[in-house]
Amino acid sequence: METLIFIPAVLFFLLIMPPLMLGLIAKTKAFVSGRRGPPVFQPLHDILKLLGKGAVYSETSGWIFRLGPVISLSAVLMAASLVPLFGAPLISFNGDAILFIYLLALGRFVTILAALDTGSSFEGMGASREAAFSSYAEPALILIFASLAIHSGSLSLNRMFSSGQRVFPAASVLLAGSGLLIVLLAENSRIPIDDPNTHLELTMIHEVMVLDHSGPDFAFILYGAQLKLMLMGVLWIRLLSPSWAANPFFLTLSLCGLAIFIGAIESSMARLRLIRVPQLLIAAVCLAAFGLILAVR
Amino acid sequence: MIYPWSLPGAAFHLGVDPLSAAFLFLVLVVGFCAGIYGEGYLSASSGHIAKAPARFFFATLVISMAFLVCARNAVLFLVCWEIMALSAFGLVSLEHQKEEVRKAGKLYLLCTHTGSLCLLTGFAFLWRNAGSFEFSAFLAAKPLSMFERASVFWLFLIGFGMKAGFWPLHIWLQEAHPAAPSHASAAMSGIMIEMGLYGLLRFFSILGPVSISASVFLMILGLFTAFFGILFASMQRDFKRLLAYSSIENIGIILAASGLGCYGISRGNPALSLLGFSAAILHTLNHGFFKSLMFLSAGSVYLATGTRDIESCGGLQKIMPGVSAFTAIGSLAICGLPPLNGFTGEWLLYCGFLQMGYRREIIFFSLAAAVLSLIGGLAVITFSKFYGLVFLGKARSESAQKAKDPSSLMLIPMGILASLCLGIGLFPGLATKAAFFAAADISRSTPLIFSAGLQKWSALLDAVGLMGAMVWLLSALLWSIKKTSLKKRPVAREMTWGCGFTAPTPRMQYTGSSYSMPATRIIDGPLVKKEFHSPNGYWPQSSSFHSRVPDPALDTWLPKLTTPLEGLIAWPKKIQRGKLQFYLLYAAAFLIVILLWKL
Amino acid sequence: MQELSQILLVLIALFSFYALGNSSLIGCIKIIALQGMCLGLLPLIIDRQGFGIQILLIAAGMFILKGVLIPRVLSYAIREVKIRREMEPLIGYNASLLIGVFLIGISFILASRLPLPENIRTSLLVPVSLSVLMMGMLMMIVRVKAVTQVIGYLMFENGIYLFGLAISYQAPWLIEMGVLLDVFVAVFIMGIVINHIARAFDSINTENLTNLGD
Repeated sequence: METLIFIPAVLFFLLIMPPLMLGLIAKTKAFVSGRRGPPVFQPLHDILKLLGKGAVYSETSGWIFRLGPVISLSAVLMAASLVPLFGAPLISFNGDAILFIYLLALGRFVTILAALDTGSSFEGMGASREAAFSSYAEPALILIFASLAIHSGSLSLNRMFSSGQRVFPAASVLLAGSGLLIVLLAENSRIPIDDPNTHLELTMIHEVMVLDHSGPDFAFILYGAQLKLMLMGVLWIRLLSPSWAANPFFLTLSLCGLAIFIGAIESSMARLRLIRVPQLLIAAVCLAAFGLILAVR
Repeated sequence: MIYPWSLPGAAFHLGVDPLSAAFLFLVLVVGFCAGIYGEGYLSASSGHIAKAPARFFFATLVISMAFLVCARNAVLFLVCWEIMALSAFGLVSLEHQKEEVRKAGKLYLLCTHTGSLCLLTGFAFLWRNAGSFEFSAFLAAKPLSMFERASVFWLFLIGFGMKAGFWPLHIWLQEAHPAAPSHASAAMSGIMIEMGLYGLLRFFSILGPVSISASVFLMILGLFTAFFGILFASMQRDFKRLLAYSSIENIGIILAASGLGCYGISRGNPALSLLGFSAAILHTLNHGFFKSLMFLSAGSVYLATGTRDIESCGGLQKIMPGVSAFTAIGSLAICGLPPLNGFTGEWLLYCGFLQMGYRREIIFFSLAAAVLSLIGGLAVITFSKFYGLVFLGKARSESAQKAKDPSSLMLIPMGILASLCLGIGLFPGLATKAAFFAAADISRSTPLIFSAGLQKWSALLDAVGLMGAMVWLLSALLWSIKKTSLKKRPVAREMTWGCGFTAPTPRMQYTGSSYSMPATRIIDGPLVKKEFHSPNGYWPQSSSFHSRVPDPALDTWLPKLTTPLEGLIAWPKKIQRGKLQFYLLYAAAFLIVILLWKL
Repeated sequence: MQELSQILLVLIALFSFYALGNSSLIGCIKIIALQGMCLGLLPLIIDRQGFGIQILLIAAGMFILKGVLIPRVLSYAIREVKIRREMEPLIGYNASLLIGVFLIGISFILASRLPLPENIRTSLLVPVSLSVLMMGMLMMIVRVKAVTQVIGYLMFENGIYLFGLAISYQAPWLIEMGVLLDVFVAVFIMGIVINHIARAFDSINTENLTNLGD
């Protein structure tokens, strides 16, 4: 009986929460700049609308371009099945943390290929930056996972991000948490790494890669990106308070809180110059390494 | 199987154990595929490659390797090793009309013989201890002394490392692989360099545990080799050179995994050692398959377009659909991404690094895992660049517009290799079993530990494979959703969005050097040599920019080592006068000296 | 209290770390001020028996001197010479960050090997003090501007203070006061010297000082 409620609940959560978070970010930014802003369910509405539209394909592109969004979304969905939301994840085994990182990498790889398939120099530029910055972000993620794995004695996300017998030292949580926050912002192309709302293609990273997608393809990409943001957000919240996150209401509330927090960061900061982005990511790696040192001590 | 042989100390002693079997399988499958492809390649290459020597050397290469992995006698091993090395030399210098090919061939010959010399000396040490050239005698002999162990370790590391291409012994690799015809480079990169690793693994099983510091050294050397290889791969323009550097990367990963295995032995932890060695063997198998696939597709592109420059290809996806599909699979596999085989070995290695249970050393191992993930990220850059620039977008040159898919004689072997990559990715259980059985002997694990490890890890890898299968299934589902929803709605084809610009040309596409620049910029400062003539004045005449990436080990450090050596060698060179009379004089002098000494 | 002091110590180390990766001189000064304030708070929350008037005095003195006064002097100095950024460090910022983390690792190893009583060795105080000290050293080595060198020197001194705190909680507070006075005077003089270098050379690169030899 419990699973009968649990699985639909998880699916509902996975469907509604990611667009809601994005809506909240937009709302926060609008609020800070004194506007009313679009309704918080606007991103969800956009996705549904896009799913019902036709598509325009570039003459240059071929099957990779059409396959890209599909594979990328299914990779992120499979990654979602590994993350403990409230309660246990759908699938969990020892070593799935590595699989999680690599599934996200798979999604990124096919998105990059789809971007290169259009032959547009802007999209090539975005692809190149996305590939570069995420290759710096990945080691930080691995180091954070490593320090959690040492503590839980397991490489599965479920065990690593649940409250175990051993208490993770507070200082370590601080360091790993700030590292993970930088990784979260970088992987989901938020300010200060990337500005999702910029109007100049030259300065974009993720958004410029998906310029040519339209219709259902674009809906897949939007939803995949939002889902990724939520997954990383869940991990972040579970890192900070593993025991409370098992409560669905707390998790929902704190995800909303995280969205508002990201909105606040975006309203208070400018995007970094591209040349400074690697430095921030290296700082994330160093933070994670410091956290690891503390955790092992 | 033992047959007597007239050479002193030699016996034609063959045997197959799981380690040999794993490598034999690899040699035969890749040899078969590359051989068939080679036939198509030779007949399509319009005669500028001599066919007879190509076939002969290829056959001797594969056969010698097949015997090499089964050899149970050091003399037989060395003979096979030499035949392999020489046939590879023959293959590298097939197109000896070209200056660069001759240069690469010479370099290769020098390197491989330096390696052979080390091996010969190493085996001599073992022989002195055991009194026989049989491997079983080496095993049964009394333990070596401290000094002997150390010298044998270093000699074998250099000898086998020269073949495998550990940094900084890799210098011949990126020169020789592009020079050989593609089916030969596939065999060389997919299996020949892995013979070096086979030798090393065999040697570990004979010599027993190495010290902890040596195994840590192996891991660091492996990770450095891998990082170095992929960093240089990401900066290459010549795609065969790029693949050669990527071979260095994979060899480094395998070496790091073997180092982990050695570490397990020396810490008395056979479970860890089993994990490390089987990760090494699994990745060796996988690398053999995807790397030869990539070299075969590189060959097809080279044949179709006549260029190895990434920047003059492009848009081949539509005119070479077969090759492009197989290459896509190969690229996913070589980046180590999940639903394909490249991920399985790397996953085992990550698990080994992060779950070893030594609290004090865990920082080192976590850093190793982080470096591994950085390598993975750079691999994504490298191969998205390779695939994206060669197959996607628009053709950047005329020759790339006229390319077409090769004959089915060349496509089918690629298909076999690609399906192996897919198959191992989805059902890793079988390959994992093979790797574990092969690693059992080296890791000295008891049957209990072995069966526990095998059960645990093959079940987990099956779960990974299942996840991969679910990715494909989910993609199919989403694809059909998309298809049905698009069926009723308008689908248009338009120009690529050019941000308002309406007359883009293929030359305006992003270039490969720019593509890899953001990632490598913070590291590459001293590595990239730039020549920049900037435009001057109000009416600039001509300006140019040229950048190249020389290999520091080959172009900077090697000359520093060899220049003094040359001076040393120049002295005895004076004896060589080139006149018959002088040589007669030398012979007479030699005779007289010998007679005086002996009588 | 244990947790709080740990977090404070990690923050102190992070401030040094941030200064290593920051090119803006004003940013560095702000960071060193924050670090000084944290140092001032530290004696209050580090676990110990009872509050003495001496502790309060030390804390207040540290807070005011390191957190307020010295940064004031420094920002006055750079306002006078109109230098905003460290443009050409000897080692780039990315590399110094990585070296910084390496130094943190080393200081943890060193701290576990130092012949110290058990209760001190297990605390975070010693490794953090060593790493702050080494990062200050690193900063003095790789930066060329006089101001950043002063900041490095301050960081170095903070590390020494932390180490002193670890070794003995209250006895040598007089000595500490003496050292503080020294530092204050040193920074004061440095401020004046920076001004003078700037006037003499139109720049505050310490590399120019080597020209004085001829």
